[in-house]
Amino acid sequence: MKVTLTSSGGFAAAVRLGRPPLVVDAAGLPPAEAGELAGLVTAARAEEPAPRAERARDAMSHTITVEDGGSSAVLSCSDAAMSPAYADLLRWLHARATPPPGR
Amino acid sequence: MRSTGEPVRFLAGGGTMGVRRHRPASDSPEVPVPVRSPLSCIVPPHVLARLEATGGPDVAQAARSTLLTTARLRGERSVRAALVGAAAPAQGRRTIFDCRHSTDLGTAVVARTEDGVVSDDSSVNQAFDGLGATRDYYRQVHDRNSIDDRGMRLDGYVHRGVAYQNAFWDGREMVFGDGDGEVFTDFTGSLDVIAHELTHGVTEHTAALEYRGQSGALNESVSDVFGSVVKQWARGQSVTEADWLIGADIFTPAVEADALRSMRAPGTAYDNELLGTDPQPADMSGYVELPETEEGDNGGVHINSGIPNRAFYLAATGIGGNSWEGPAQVWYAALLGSGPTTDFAAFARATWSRAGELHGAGSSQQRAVASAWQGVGVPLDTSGGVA
Repeated sequence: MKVTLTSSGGFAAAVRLGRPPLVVDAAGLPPAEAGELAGLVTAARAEEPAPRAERARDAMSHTITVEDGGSSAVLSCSDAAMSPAYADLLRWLHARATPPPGR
Repeated sequence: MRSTGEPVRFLAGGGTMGVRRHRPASDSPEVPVPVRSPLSCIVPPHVLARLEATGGPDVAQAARSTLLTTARLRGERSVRAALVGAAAPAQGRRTIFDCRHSTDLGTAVVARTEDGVVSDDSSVNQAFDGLGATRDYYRQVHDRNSIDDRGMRLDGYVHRGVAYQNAFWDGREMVFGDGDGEVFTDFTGSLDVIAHELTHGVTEHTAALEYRGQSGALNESVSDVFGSVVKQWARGQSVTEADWLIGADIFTPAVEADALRSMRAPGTAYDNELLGTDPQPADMSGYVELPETEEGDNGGVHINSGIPNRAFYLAATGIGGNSWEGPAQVWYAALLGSGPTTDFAAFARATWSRAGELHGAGSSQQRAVASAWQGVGVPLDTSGGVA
């Protein structure tokens, strides 16, 4: 399973523009961490997508793409309307990859 | 300033600490808000402008107030209608909540209230003071009663998430991250950032500029303009003393950057391997076309805002003195008279018209505004006199 995170927008949006995505490949992780990632992805996918935060300004937007066994899923979320499971997955990804500035 | 990972500190002896977030019950039904103008609005703008220019101090002040009120009503008529039934005035009372590193604002706890004791958490106090300074600026300079001009409560949330590198307005409240401590530091440490976010609320309740393309870049620019002006007002700095920087305090000392944006010289705020080069254009020749998607920053709203940002800088320095006395009055009146799809050219004309109304047709102030827009390459339509 490969998980790709792209973040955009925010007060410092200009710094983030065009930055490469953050990628975590479960194949390169110890089994325990790979299992942890799979559990977080499953939890995030099980939640109802949060409504779009149309009135938010400077909130960052995140797109997490999960590729697994030939299928893929895209999970999108705004900082202004983020489910706990999505936040857990985001935090885990940030902690295990070297992010670009202003992640 | 708190570093990442440091335990959350609680307010010693604060009776409000540990209380789960509670939004005060609101409130009584809406009542009509009287127009606070000392002169009747049936007086034509050009007469008011003449009175403002030639009357005694009291008459001039009354005329200026009425001109601004007229512009306010022009811009807010639909907003007022939409707000019937909204919360009753609260005089912009502040409440700061501590997210305790959660992203769920619903679990945040009250950290400081308007009448509460000072916190031992610097982020809490900085947010509290910054929101207060911005509220006071709008009240004292523009006679505006909080974000919605009806006393809307000011709720600020600090310590959102873990090492969160951002601050935002979520449509109702302002949210601040701690930064990662390596590139970005605490976002409450910059008054212009706090005023920027609060001004997003003001824009939402006035012109409601759509957050994409040129209207979106204007939306961002208005927040930068008043973010900078509030900072200048709080510091008592003239236009020549001001730094005209946005977010000068949000980078750690290890980062070689003046700020996140420069209004004086867009495109020069930073240039290093870590952050890249500041992509903001200084005039229309450098306008950046980006897709109106989230990945494209909704058409580069944080990029192309450099153009109207510099227009304000040029107008302010062209007029001289204190930015909040002349230029900000013109920009604020133009904001009140703008709408969701106002673009650069329409806003340029609005500022030129308002400068003519406030300072007189052909005045040095109006000429400075025209010169400013010309300086950034935005066409200015002056046909037919003031709009």
